[in-house]
Amino acid sequence: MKGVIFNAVEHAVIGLGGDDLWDDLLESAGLEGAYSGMGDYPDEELVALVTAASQKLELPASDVLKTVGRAAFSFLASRVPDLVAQVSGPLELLSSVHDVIHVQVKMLYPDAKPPELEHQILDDGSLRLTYQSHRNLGDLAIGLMHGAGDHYEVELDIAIEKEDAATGTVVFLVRELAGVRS
Amino acid sequence: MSEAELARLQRRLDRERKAREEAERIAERGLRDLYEANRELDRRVEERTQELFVAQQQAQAARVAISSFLANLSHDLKTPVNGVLGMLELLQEEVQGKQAHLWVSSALESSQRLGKLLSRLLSYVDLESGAGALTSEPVSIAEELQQVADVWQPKALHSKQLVSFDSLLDAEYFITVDRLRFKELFDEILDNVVMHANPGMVRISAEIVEESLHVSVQDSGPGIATDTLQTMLQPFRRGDDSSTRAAAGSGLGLALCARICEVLQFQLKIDSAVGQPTTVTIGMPAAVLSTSAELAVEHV
Repeated sequence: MKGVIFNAVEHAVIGLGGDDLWDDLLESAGLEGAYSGMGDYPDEELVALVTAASQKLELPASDVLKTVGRAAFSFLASRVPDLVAQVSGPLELLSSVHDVIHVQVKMLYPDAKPPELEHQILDDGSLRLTYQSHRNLGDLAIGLMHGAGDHYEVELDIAIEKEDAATGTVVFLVRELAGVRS
Repeated sequence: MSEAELARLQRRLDRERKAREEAERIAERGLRDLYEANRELDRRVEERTQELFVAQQQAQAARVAISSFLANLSHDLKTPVNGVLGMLELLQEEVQGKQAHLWVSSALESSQRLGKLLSRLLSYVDLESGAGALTSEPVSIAEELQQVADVWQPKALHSKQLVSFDSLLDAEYFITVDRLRFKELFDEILDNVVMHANPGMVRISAEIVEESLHVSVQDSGPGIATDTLQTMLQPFRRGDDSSTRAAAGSGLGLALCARICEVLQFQLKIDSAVGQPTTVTIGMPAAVLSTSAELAVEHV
């Protein structure tokens, strides 16, 4: 996994519980945690970090991923400020992740394996987003989507239409909740 | 600060340092890869450029060889063809009987066509290789074009065409030009019109457009398709490349016109569409025009 994702997680954890929490998690996971944004690190290290957080906070791993994802959005958004400024809302941003952001990622890191994302705008304006990755990080994706909502000050309703753990596929239905945008 | 806290701070510091060093290593590797890729790209550009240069040289050598071969061939063929022509002309006067007369006429006509083709080929090859030097003399536009019309009228009558020259010039204009090439240009255009155009009027006109002289030859159809217009100025391309073509021709006439225009620095333009008249316009630059023969001489 790209180091930038670990940086985003680190940023999120420190934002949520301070430097000590990050230290605690690294220590209990038995990791050194020297992540460079451009580097590549084993997926298992993320699993170990999530497990450590889950044990420490006595929360299910899925909740940890959602919380970390939500808090990590701002860090990732800061890497593509122009794109985030260009679009008017979270659904538009989510629609462009695969064709714009992941294309840039692959350009910089040809060996990167970002998740496959397919989007479809439905008649009622909501978004059907199909996520597929061998990493099975659908919960992190949910957290990041909520983080995108927070950025544009729009509350999102995210439902799971279909899920297949064997292929790592999750189909999300994302809609903006009316009247929340301030 | 407790020892444990100090140790933790030390670990944070180590972590940051290690991450930074890792980032530097990755950046260095990236830069090195980029440098190598650039060098490889340079090398390939250099290689391709060299290949292109060689190909260009080969093409040029091939062109020279073809030109020289064609020039020699045409030249060698001209002598016997002229011999045949002369003999046939004599024979035409002597031969008795209607059928025999027809056969000789037919042989004469074919030989004349062959002679013309050889002349064109020689002329084209001369222009291509730049072998024939150009001369310069003042030529009266109206006089020369009237002469073209007069010379072509009898031949055009066979195709039921009437050739006229209309001068739209407000004064007598002279052009400083290679007279033979100038004449050849209009002969080729008229030859093409007489061979391919419908019966009707063939109008040669001359006028001044924005200081340059435009000489147009307009026929009475049947017009030329757009895709044909784009290729017909290339040598050996005929307007109708199909094997069922009705009219004879080498496909060299218009290519020769284009080449002459290029050499004389004239603009050649052909306007046409299927079912419409075709207008061939030759634009001649103001620099070679004068309103008196004396001034025209100064251009020489």
